[in-house]
Amino acid sequence: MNSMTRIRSALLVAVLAGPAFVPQAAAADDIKVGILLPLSGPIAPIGQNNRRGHVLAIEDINAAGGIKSLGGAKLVIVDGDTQGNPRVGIQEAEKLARQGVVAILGAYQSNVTFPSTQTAEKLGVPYIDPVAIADTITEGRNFKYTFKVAPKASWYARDQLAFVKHISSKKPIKRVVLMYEDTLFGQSTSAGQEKSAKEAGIEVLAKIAYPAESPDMTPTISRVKQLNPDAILFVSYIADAVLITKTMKELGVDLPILGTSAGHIDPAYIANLGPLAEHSFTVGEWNPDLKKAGAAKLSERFQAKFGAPMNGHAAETYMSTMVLADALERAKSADRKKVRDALAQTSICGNRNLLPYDCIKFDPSGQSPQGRLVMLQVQKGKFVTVWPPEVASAQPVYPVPAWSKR
Amino acid sequence: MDVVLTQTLVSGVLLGGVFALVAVGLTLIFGVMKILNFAHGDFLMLGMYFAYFLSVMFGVDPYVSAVAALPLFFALGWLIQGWLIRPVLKAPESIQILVTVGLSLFLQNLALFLFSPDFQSLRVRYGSDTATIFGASVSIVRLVASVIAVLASTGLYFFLARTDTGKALRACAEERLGAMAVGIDVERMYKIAFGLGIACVALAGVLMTPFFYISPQVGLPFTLTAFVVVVLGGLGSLPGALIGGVLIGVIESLGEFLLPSPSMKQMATFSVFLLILLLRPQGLMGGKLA
Repeated sequence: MNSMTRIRSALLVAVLAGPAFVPQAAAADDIKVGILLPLSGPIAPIGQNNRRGHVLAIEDINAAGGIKSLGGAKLVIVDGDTQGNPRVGIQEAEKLARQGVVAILGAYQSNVTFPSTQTAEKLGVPYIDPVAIADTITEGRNFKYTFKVAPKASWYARDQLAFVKHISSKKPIKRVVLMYEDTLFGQSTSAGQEKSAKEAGIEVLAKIAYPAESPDMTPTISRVKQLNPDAILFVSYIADAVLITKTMKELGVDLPILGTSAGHIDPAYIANLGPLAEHSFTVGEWNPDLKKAGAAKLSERFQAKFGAPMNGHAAETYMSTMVLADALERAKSADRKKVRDALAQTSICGNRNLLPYDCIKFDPSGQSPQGRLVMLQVQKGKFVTVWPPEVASAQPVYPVPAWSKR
Repeated sequence: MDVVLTQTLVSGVLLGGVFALVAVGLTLIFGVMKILNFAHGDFLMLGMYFAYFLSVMFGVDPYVSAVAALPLFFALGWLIQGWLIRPVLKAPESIQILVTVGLSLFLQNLALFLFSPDFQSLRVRYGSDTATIFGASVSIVRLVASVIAVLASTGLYFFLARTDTGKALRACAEERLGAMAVGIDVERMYKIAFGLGIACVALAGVLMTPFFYISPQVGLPFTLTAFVVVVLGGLGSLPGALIGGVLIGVIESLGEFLLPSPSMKQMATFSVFLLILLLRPQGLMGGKLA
């Protein structure tokens, strides 16, 4: 390479990289909040949607006068892009710490959150986990700086079975079949379902793992039909969830469908099945119709601002940002140690907490122990909350009508 | 007979009919040109999107789209043969494989870009209607797809066996130089073969839209299954592909029914694949096109 091309390429690099070096237009007393999410790569759409909850919350906080105990200091976002990669996630967490963020919020995926909370612990940066659910993020680590607003993965099965018990009073569910897609997600979730079913005294007739890309599921569904359970519990992605529901209709399997988030909560489930989706149940993190003052209004504002419906992830990232603002207010300081101590004393209750339980608090492990999932049902082409009764907006339609009447 | 077993066998045969039509196109292309088309399943995907968009945007019934798809995809195959495959026909096999694998990646990413990675499915009025055959409940749209697939494959067989163009195609398959010597336009025959092969697989895609989901990567498992079917029936044999398709459909269904977990059903399919390679590498019907 001669010197001329070297200069030329150096110029090119400077031009391309230029925008990244423009300093944040931050006033001296602004408080930097690190948002660690997959903002590029294959799961970027989910990361971007998570980020919207943070953006809306920070707008609301700043519009209401910022952090009052700190002279109305405004919150500003500093982004860290994990690219969905644990190794990059660690580097980005370190970078956010160097850039002076008061806390890190993220990182959507459990396998990124797990190692990056380790980094934050080492560096003494408070880390709030809004969405990543793996039990191991808070279990057995004794971390002082990790605060997990997200429910534990094992609670999905716990709450699903609690719901099964709840509706059993109308028509008993004593025997169930578990069907799950055969990767780690399906296997681990269904193991939890089996355990919770056993504890609830419900018999598991069969555990059926299937490949999510099956072109046809007729033999399996006809086998389930012959087993004649009272309900089927699913852990499915979207393609298989749709195929199975169609096949159940074709074979006249009039059983309640109980999904576990993922495929069954995907808006595409209703869009692709239309009337056949009607009366399917699924575990969910949140829904706009929850009986919490402000939930409906917030989701309307979200929809108006971003042109997309507010989902559970966005609600969790919104509330997690509020948790940080609340701690800053009480800490009267942007010092990480003091903010950490304030976070440990968090108590956001009643209608101030938009998530479907009473109080956001943190136990010594950093978990929000009251965390709970909700059960949704497709009614008239929309997901509505049917459990737990305290936050439900509608009664579950159960026993589910025969296919011919849906 | 046990109702679950009946249901399993019937749905296996129906699934097999569609497998057969996918495989028929693959085997025709291989038989005539000795090219392994790794992009085969991606034309299935294109066929599905074709029917999907015609239906969503213009309200065209997928069975009407099926008729429209035939000349369109024939032309697409013709063009691809002329532009992409012809230059590598005499190249080493590894180059040919790279070209078709590259085409596959290109088509998938083009679909990702144009149609988004979102999963779609077409909702038709009659999409979940059923009929009862031998006590088994059968989806009408799967039944229709299977019947049309078998009819199309049989039609293609008679086209190859009886017509002049068909005979010329078989001549190219058996002896390229000989065919040239007697004045057959081999280049044109190759374009016809590739066009027919693509039209078959696209037709299978269109026929599947009323009951199957559509996504840019939907074709991949079908490419794999089609290779198993073609090897089972005999590389380059049309009746072999038809019989092989139905057999593999039944084997997958029976595997799902008999093995301890449906996750293992593909194990059944690929075990058959290995056994055939070991015991009868020329396939059930040998290698004659028709």
